[in-house]
Amino acid sequence: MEIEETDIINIVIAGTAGQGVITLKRLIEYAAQKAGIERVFGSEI
Amino acid sequence: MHGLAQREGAISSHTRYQKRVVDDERKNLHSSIICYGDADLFICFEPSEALRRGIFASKKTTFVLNSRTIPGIMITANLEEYPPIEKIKEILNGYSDHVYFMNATELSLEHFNSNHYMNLIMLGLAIPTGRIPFIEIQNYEEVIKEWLRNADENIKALHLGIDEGKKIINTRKS
Repeated sequence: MEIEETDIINIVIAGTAGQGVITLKRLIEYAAQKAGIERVFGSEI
Repeated sequence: MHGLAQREGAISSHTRYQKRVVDDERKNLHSSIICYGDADLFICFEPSEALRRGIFASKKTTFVLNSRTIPGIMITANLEEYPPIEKIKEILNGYSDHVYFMNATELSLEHFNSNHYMNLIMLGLAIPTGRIPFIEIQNYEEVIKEWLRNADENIKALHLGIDEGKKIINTRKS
């Protein structure tokens, strides 16, 4: 499936406490910013 | 208060991004919460957690799962049964054909003598699915070097996950 630059990408990361869910979430978000992605949002539940 | 989610508490997060915004603001990303059924990718560190968050999945969702189970308190107390992995796979296949399992915890223990690198190995499995587009490997490596302890080990774990992930995904395609 072709993904356009204007598409919104949605990623769910799930696990149990202590497995590094939030670490990975923030890693992806920081890497996205370094990649020049214009909008990066996230929530930790 | 701190620590309430420790010891088997379920944790989930949403990450959303848009490479390039358009002039029509209605089509741009404005919210940090994913709509029901709108997840492109699930990265699950524990198989049953995928079921717990199933409301965000749909036929467009790709699932990458660590196959190592962590039974919750109700299961260890013999009040509930943990669903068989095959049953979990069957349920997820009801959403989508793109369901990939890998025992990332076992790989982490085998290669690093620690389970701490499981999350980076799982990121490595997710990358070859193509569902985290527009982010290069070097972008991850830069962040790991800036922000994480044991950067070299974490980068090795990422590449281990990518290599093993390619094998799993290519096997499914062939």
